[in-house]
Amino acid sequence: MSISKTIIEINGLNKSYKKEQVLNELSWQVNQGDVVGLLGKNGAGKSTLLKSLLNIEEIDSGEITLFGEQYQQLSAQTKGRIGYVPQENDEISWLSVSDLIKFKRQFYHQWSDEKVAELIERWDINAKKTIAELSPGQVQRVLIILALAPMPELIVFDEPAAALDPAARREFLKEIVTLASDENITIVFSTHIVSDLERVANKVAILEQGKICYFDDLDTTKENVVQLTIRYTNEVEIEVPNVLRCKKHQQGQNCIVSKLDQNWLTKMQSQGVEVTVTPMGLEDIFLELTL
Amino acid sequence: MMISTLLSGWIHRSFLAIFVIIAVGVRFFMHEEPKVHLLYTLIAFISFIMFLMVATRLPLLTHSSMARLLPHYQQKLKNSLIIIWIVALLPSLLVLPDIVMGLGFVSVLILMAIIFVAMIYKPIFQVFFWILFFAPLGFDYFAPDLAGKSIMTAFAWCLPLILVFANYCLNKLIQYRGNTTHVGRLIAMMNVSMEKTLAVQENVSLHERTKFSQWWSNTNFDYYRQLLNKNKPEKNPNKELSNKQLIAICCQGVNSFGRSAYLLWTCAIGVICLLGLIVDESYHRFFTTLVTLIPVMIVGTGTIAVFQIIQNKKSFLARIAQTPRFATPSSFTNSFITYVILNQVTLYIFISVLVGAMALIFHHINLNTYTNLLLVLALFCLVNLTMMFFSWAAKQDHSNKVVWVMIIGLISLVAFAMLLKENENIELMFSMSFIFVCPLIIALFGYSLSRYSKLKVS
Repeated sequence: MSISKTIIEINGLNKSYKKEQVLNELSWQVNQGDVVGLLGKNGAGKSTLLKSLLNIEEIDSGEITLFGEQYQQLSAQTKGRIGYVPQENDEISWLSVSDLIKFKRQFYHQWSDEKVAELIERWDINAKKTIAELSPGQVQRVLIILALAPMPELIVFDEPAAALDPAARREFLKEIVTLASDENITIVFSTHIVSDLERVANKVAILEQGKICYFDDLDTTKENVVQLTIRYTNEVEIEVPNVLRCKKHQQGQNCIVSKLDQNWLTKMQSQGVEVTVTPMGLEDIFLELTL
Repeated sequence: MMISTLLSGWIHRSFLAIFVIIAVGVRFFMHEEPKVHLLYTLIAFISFIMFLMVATRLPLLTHSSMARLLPHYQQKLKNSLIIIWIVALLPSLLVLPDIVMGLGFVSVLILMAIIFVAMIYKPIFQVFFWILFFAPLGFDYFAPDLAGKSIMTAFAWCLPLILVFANYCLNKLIQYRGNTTHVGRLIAMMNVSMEKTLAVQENVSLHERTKFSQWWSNTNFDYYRQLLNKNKPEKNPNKELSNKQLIAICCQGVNSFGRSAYLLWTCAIGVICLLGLIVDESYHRFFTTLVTLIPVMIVGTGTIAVFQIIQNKKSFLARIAQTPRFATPSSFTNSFITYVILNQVTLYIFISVLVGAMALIFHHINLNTYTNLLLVLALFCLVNLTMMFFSWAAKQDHSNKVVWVMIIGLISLVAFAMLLKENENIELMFSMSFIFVCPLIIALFGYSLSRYSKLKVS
């Protein structure tokens, strides 16, 4: 069995804006070949986390390593292995698409003109138009092309499909699946569209209160995470194994567990405690964990 | 709510309050003859800023959807405008020593406010603004015997009529719907928003601007487009653009002070100098306003605009710094610092040459004053650069404050330049205060550079 290499490693990351703590002692690890969907509510800090790990935003404290190198001291070679698609277009808007490509290729040692030409044709982009003249969806596609052109091994997408129409979104998601499977590229993308994540990701991370509160394989998540509705007559709180979140109410408890412990369930039932197990969809898990 | 939208931001309000306090101070504590002129200048300046601010933000309220939905909206808007008007006109009545002159000045200020609002909604009214702007010059030229006092007395007698006219205009304004496309573009141009931030015009895209603005920006962009297209790194890898050139491309914005700006200002100064050579020397005093205003406008557009453009592109530049081209963090920082310093030094050398050329033609300053001005300009350039690098190195966004400090610095520079002109014998280079301030500013500049490099590299 091959051990996958760690691509991103974050330990004790803290980041605040004025008095608001956005990322709080966040630790996380992403391995080679992972396609990670980062879920979080609006304002949870998804963009801040992605920008911080790429050194686009300064952090308050913490350690970040990318491809085993300290994030502020990346070698040119490692920098070339990273692609990034920002949430908001801040590219030079007065340059035409072709000029912007010429401009961007000067920053990289490795650049695939074939890939650029292929995607421009496939996505029907008029390379003579300036960035300011393109629709938001087309700009997003150009940004994706610019991120893919240096043939990166890690691509970070910040809400990549937000500005795309359904057809373009499907096309883009297909591209991510192809990249991940054919070229073994590690992909991290933030989104709040759960269906997008389910279509492409093999891992899911949920960001809540400045921390990664949940991170696991998507299939395992769908298979194992269940909601337990526990009803009891006496008001003594029951300890639940593998619990992710638990809410107590008058008649009992509502808990979400990462894996149902069958022994515990049998024990509870034998004690006369009524436990109802409800399977959960990813959207329900996200909502329950972030509410 | 309406008043706070119109007088947006505590920086704006503090700025106005400071000038009102200065005006009160001048009125009660200065006992020299020129104080009346200074008072008029201060009050005109405060009103100018205030009316311009209110006028540019007014479309937000007149063209808001609330205007159609909320009951009594128009009456509330009118009341808010009357309150602002009364507050804006109070200094004229309280501070100016002569009541007739005060009333006359109030009339002029009411007309100024009406013209400002009118030209915001209909650009054709800009003609009246320029008529008002050059009116003192016109009186001086065509009717030199007419005393300023008699003109102001006439305006004072016209005050009731002007008030009736103002009320009529106000009633029209609160109901005005007008050209929504123009107003929409104006809102975008002024970048006024409900947020209490200073206008960052870079956010307005090129195609939303006027044809002239588009042409102005495109002439600058074309130079960089050509630069990019001349270079074919795939054919000749040694002919790549330099790091500084690449950063220069990143830092261009629609308000950049580019080649076309240099060319246009040179032509404008050339024309003014040519006029100065043709007309009799006795008319040279009429050029004083222009000769003073032009360097101020160049500094405004060449320094403040550059700061705002780069501030806006901070995130993009941070991404660029993370590309393999900049193998070490210091390689980006060094190229960026070099670009900014060269850009600003070129601008200030250009201003120095322009001021020199105008001084040569109009003889309004002697060599000693010119040398003093150059020294002050050099220090001003260093102060601005210091503030820029401190601001870019900071984790928090202080750009609004920096821009306001720059504007106040610019006003102080003009005032200081006037003082230097009045006292032609001062040799700034040998003055103790200059000798003390100079190394201090240089040290601060050095510290700002080292802080920027250290923070960006670490």
